Amino acid sequence: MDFYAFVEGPLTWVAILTFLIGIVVRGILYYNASKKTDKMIHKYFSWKWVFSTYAKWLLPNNVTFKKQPLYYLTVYLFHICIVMLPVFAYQHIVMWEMSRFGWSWISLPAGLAKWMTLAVVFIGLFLIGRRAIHPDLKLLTKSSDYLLLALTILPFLTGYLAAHATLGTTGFLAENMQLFHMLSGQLMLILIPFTKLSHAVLFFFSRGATAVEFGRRGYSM
Amino acid sequence: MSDKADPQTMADFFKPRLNARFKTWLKICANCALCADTCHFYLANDRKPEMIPAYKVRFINEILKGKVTIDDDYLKKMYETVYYECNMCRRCALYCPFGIDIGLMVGLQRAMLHNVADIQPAGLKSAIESYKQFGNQMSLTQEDWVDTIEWTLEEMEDYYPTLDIPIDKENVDLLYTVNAREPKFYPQDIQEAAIIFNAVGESWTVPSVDGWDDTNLAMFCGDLGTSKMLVEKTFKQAEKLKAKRVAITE
Amino acid sequence: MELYHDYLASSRIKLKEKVKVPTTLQDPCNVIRSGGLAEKNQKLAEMLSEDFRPMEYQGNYNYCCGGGGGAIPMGPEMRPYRVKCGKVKADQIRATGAKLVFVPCHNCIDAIRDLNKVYDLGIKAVHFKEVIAHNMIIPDHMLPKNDQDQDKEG
Ligand code: SF4
Ligand code: SF4
Repeated sequence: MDFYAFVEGPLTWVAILTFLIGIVVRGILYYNASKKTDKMIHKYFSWKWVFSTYAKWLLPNNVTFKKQPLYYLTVYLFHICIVMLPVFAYQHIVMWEMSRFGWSWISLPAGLAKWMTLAVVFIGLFLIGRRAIHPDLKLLTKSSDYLLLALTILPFLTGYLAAHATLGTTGFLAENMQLFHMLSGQLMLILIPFTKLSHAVLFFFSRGATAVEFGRRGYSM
Repeated sequence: MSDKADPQTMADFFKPRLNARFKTWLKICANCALCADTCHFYLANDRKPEMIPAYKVRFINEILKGKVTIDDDYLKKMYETVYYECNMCRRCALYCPFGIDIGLMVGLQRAMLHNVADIQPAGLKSAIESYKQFGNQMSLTQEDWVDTIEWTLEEMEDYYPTLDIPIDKENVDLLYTVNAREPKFYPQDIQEAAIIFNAVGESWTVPSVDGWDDTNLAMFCGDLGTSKMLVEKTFKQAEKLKAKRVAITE
Repeated sequence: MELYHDYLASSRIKLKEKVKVPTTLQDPCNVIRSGGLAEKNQKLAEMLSEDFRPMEYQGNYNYCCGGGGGAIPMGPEMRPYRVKCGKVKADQIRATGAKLVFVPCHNCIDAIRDLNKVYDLGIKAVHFKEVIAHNMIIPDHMLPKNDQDQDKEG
């Protein structure tokens, strides 16, 4: 099996499984730890607070949005694109159709997908730049923050370049763009459960916990 | 600096006390600075980046990673951050997208300083000692307290002759407790409360012995032992006097 | 405070008169944000005043006065920092134009009285019970006998 086939086949499965199992395990670990150490939260637990906090924070419908609407929407868009594109890009769905599962589902229109990909890249670059300039962020930012941001942009950048053959069709970079795209995507999938990117799952637990904490005091947040 | 203050002991103090939430928060904080302008310290200090809430809990991660040398300077910096730069008001928690509660983690750092390095503000320290010895923060003895009440009543006699502050009455609806600053500095506060309770004919009482001080300053520097003792004292009184509810001043 | 609210709401206390000057209200962190009494706090202030002016962020999202977390009992050591960060609160109060601030917390009241001096706000910071005790209708049985009909007692 040549390297390309290896990356396309087994490595993809490894990455997807690591990601899926990883986030489930993260969730379970959190739940168990919190059962032991956060008894308060479980004692006062109520879905009412949890759902109302999700409704506020998964939509631009909260105090921080009101405080910094532009920035919030930018970052919001960034996240939506990151979540939607890997699942609904038609190139990916084609792969699923050809796989042993033969699954298929609705895809994003190609034009929209293109703009979404560009949005991730440019917003990502903007966020990196912002970290480098803004005094508050300069103080807080660690090198790992830059690294993770860059790694997050990479699959989208390479995906765009591969899909639109921007760099032409010859040369080392252009010929292997597909490969780079897969590798960077897999790296990101694998990193999610283990790094700060785990906020993809832990967001729900953290928000839920704080919502219960304040909810038991009588108000939703 | 106390000889107990080596990084290992500190890390060992933190570890069992980092509950699932704290651990997650320390891990996922995006360093996004959205919490910055929610803190009055940040706003009032000309938006000084060092005042961002998220920056005030860096010590936990640093100590856990073991990468810092812990000397007097470091502890001083930590002390100043957790006491001079945070009121533990928890406002920032309402604005963080993850709901990260910086106030609680500042509390944990205060607890570490108090319990491991024996560092705490003099004002709180003397209050704690007073709690342990007298059961209230102002070093008032039980006689002082009962005297204050009686004296308060006498003073009011001309205006409200039937005014009554029942002490240790059983089977009441309400056990009223005060801030120990009241008998010491603001006795009129007790008078006013008494006037109101008398006017509505509330069935109430104040405890004569332990538990009448409803403040809990030990909590603020993380002395959980003392803090718990104080709460228990008040509720034991309520049980003994068979009061239905406990009311605190305000 | 909750009690006083309930007394007034259920008319167990009746007022002679409401506070005439403009008022506003502090939301002490431990009573409001961590105690969940925001609504009753504001209702009580409204019941007591003719011209109640909520400050910006009134309620659960209010700023701390600077006296929280043990800052007041820490005394002079903490004062400069406390006064400095209290500027936010001082500006909030000034913006309402209130002359009287209800402050249902001993810590906050010390902090805000201090802010009043430092930032020259021209306000009076009071506890609820102070206002209630002064402005309520005292039941006859509590008044000195020589001023009243003798047999009203009881
Ligand atoms: S809890 Fe501390 S850091 Fe957060 S807003 Fe209040 S004072 Fe600022
Ligand atoms: S505490 Fe929350 S708001 Fe503040 S930097 Fe961290 S993630 Fe952002």
